[in-house]
Amino acid sequence: MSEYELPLVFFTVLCQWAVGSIIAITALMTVQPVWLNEETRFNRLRYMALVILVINIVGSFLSLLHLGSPLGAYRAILGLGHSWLSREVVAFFLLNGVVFIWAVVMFRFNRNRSLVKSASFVASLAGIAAILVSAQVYYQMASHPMWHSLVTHLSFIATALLLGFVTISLMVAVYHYRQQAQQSKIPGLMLTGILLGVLLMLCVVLWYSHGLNGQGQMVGSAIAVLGSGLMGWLIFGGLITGTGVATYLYKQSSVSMAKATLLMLVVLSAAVCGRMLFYSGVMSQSPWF
Amino acid sequence: MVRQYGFLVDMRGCYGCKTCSMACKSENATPTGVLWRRVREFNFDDPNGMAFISMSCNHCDDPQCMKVCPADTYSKRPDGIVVQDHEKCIGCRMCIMACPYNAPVFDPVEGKTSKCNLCAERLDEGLKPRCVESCPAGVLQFGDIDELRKRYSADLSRIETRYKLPDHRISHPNIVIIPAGDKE
Ligand code: SF4
Ligand code: SF4
Repeated sequence: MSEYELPLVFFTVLCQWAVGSIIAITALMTVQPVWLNEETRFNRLRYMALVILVINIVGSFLSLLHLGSPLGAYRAILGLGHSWLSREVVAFFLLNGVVFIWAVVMFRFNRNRSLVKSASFVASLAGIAAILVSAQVYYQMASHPMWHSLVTHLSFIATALLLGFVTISLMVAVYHYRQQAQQSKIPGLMLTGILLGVLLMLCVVLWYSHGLNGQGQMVGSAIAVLGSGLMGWLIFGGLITGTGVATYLYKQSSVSMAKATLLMLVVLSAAVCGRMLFYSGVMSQSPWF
Repeated sequence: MVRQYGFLVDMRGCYGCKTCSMACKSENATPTGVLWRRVREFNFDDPNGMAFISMSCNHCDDPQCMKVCPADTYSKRPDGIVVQDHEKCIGCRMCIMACPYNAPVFDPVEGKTSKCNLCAERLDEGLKPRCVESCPAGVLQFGDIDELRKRYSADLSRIETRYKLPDHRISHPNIVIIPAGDKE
């Protein structure tokens, strides 16, 4: 199992999920201010903020499981001047602080709408920055062509957008279901967010396929990624189900909690499979010399 | 004054006895499963043949291990040897992922990584690296890389294609390889 680097898989996917959800909440509050102004709706967002905070903290802690000597984790910032991993550690420490403040603002200061919106924008930007720093950790490894490409950044952002917008869109649909507000629409921007995530993920898959035309290690990575059964689940759970959720919610704006949970699990597990492929595409070739 | 130490591997004489690997292991008392120098075997069909490359850390000009290490464990001495401060290692294995030659080795029991330091302590005492001293066929040599390159100008790019080695332009390793059965 070590070629999948599972602690890193769950660290990156959970934190990207948290960031994507903050971005989607920010988008929702911007296009439908009623979510800020109406008490019952805002309560949904408040509790969501707490869940997102927990996901981000748990995800960050999981990264420690990857270390052979976790007690020395504090030394991981000594290489700040040259190592993107050190920068990632600092970025996620700061991100947790920002997300904590954002969750407190959402929970305690919800009467101040402009403060809530500003905090959400700041948390979204901090989240995107942290994700890009994460991608740099792998981009920095010039000896692995599959990682040493801007597609790494694309794939991390795609995961965040897909998971985040699916989560918040389904949350809105469950709210409609509970309130029997079938006539209300899911904002188009939310569904666009899902489709953008799917489209970027498709670009990543196509790039892996294009790797078959390459040479050396890139071909090995492309074969490892495309020949794995995990790829099937990424396509079904991520690309097809993601598109299906957006299409369904466009036509039908409400969904039961049970259905929403199932759909969320399918999309989330696909994102996990995608990230396992990301690691195994390179690590399965180790020792590379 | 040595600018940069490096190794020379003359594949023509290597018959894969792995004495270098074992001598390194006993000199450095590395744990079970941890080999700083390994001998890779290559098999060819046409014409039928075998070849071996003995390789450890190549004390690169642009050490990828040093670049990625978050705990700042690696440093390059004035004589070009890339050494690791083992105490500081947190076992993140980034150096293993980044090194094109798979030189650093992870010990799951200790939870840390270690690698060849070109027997820096022996060199400081005026001795040769243990692997170089132990090779019965005189395959391994070491010294100032500029001197070694003057003596043998084996073209790394051609050797990399033949033995599917990593591209030397990634880390600029300090190694001279004389290929086995060079017909060109
Ligand atoms: S061979 Fe690997 S471990 Fe040695 S200096 Fe080069 S990059 Fe670092
Ligand atoms: S395993 Fe140790 S030496 Fe290697 S990059 Fe991590 S902290 Fe540095």
